Amino acid sequence: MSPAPSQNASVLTARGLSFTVDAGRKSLLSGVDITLRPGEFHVIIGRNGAGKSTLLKLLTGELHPASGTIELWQLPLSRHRARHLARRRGVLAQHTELHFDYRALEVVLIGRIPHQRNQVETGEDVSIALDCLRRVGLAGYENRNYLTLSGGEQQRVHLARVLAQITAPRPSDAAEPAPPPLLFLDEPTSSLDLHHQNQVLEIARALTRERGATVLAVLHDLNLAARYADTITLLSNGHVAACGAPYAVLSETTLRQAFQQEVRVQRHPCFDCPLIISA
Amino acid sequence: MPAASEPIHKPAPPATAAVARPRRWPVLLLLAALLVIATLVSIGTGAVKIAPLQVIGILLHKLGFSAASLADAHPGFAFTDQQAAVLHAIRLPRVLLGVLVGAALSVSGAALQGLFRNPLADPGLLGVSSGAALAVSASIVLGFKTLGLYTLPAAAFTGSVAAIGIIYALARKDGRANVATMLLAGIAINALCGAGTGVFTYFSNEDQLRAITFWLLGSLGGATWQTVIATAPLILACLCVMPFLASTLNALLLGEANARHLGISVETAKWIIVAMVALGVGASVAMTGMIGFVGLVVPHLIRLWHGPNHRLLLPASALLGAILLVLADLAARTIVSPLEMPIGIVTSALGAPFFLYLLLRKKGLNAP
Repeated sequence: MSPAPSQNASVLTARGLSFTVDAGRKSLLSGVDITLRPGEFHVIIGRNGAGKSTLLKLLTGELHPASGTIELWQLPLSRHRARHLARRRGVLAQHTELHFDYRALEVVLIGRIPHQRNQVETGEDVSIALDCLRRVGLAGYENRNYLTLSGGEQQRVHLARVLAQITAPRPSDAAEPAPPPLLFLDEPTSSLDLHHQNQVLEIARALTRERGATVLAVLHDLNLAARYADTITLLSNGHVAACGAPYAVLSETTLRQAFQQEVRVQRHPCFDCPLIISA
Repeated sequence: MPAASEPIHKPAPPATAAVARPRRWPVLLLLAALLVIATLVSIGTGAVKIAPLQVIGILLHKLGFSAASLADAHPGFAFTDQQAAVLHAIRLPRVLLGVLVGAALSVSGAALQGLFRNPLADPGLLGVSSGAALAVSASIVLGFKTLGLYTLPAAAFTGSVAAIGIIYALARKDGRANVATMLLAGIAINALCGAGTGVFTYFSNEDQLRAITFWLLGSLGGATWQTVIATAPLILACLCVMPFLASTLNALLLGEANARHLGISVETAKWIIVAMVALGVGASVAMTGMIGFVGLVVPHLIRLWHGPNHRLLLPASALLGAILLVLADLAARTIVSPLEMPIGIVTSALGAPFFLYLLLRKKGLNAP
């Protein structure tokens, strides 16, 4: 597999990404560059239809770009073996449809499939899954019928599933520590209440701080982006309008142009980050 | 509720024991035991009665034990030559065919319901039955006899595999088979095949019409050792491969994109599932005609009992499908004895009300 990345090497580098629909007549993205660094919490913001989800789908390999290159861990994205990739890279969809009455724990255990040999579910798989349920605040929910959970609880079950997916098995003493994972989150907070919005992003940030993980999240709430992002990429009409630290990107002029909306930007009274108020 | 800022690396709780995991082996062993009982009862029932112990005695005799030593071991093992002949020539191939076909229809139903993420999917949706019906009615009316006794089974198998192949090909675009298109193409191909079958039925004479109708209603009556031996490899291939797709099907229930993110080769999986359904159900339809509702109802019963996890669902469906088809065949040949009712009537008469019950129950759940 790919060589261990040095501290400065990027996790993911995309150059000149373009994507078109309707046989090339409509361009959704053009010339997009994005770089994800180790341990970084990277957030994509932008208006509806700016190309956020499309960009995420290109970066996960779900869609193929019309032009441009994507390198993941110094290797072209297409050269990664799907199963190996799945052990280190998790993708949480904006909405997952599941109409079968699994128990919550069984849904989380689906995340362990890439780690299983011959479909054998180990006790370690179960304890990792239980731990992930606990981390998303659903301890004690393991035997609940998934279909009877609320929308927000279901979304957190899927977050637990993705966390279980990128949790490496406990290494034996000789083995070197597991390489840091990569997590893609597509509007992870959209069905959550205030408390759980923060909880989910706290979990993601903890992954970056404690396991050196890289997180790329699409967020609509600019204040959540301001509070949690290390780097923000602002998409506008399929282009990168701005990219950088929250204070640099979230300025009144930039936001006004990108969102066609009057805003005031102040200093957040509790945290060291900007506070955006629509005006 | 734990605070979100808790450290990620905490020792995992030793909670494995506290979680009631679905117990797979007891369920499978129970179903296997029931299958053995159903098989013994079905083999023993008919114009010539054979008690379960006698069935075992005859089978042991076939394995080389002398009749005298068996009778010494237990008087119940004693049997007559007539009983042995009936068991060997008539009952055993018929019950074995029932076991194979019931298992194939149910496993295929379970796999397709997973692939389509729709608990109401049925092997018939992929044109297996209607394609076979068209080919069979065509060869009856046009008088094909090239393959002798095997003409109709061969036609049926060709018809179902062709129909499933056309539907799969129609749904493919840019190297991906669209599951929704597959469903719609299935409806269209089913309608076309139905029209074709109608044309041949219209032009058939009285004998041909009778042959077509009888075939359409399904029966295990044609079972011989030859049919069992011809069918077994195809159905066993389907039955042996499907359980290896259990994790893949679990992942596919989350949608294709999520399954891909879990490292599943979704297109390969689809291809294998469709091919195995074509083999298993195609071979079944070829030997028994159309047997409805088994593939739909059996996976449902298992899900109601033990949830949708395919690691249990696939093998348990195979066993329960085999049990139910053996019992349905028993009913088909005893209810109006000495006549025989087509088994398709029995399974549909029992399956259709159950299907309606499921629909109404689902409607109740989704009511706003």
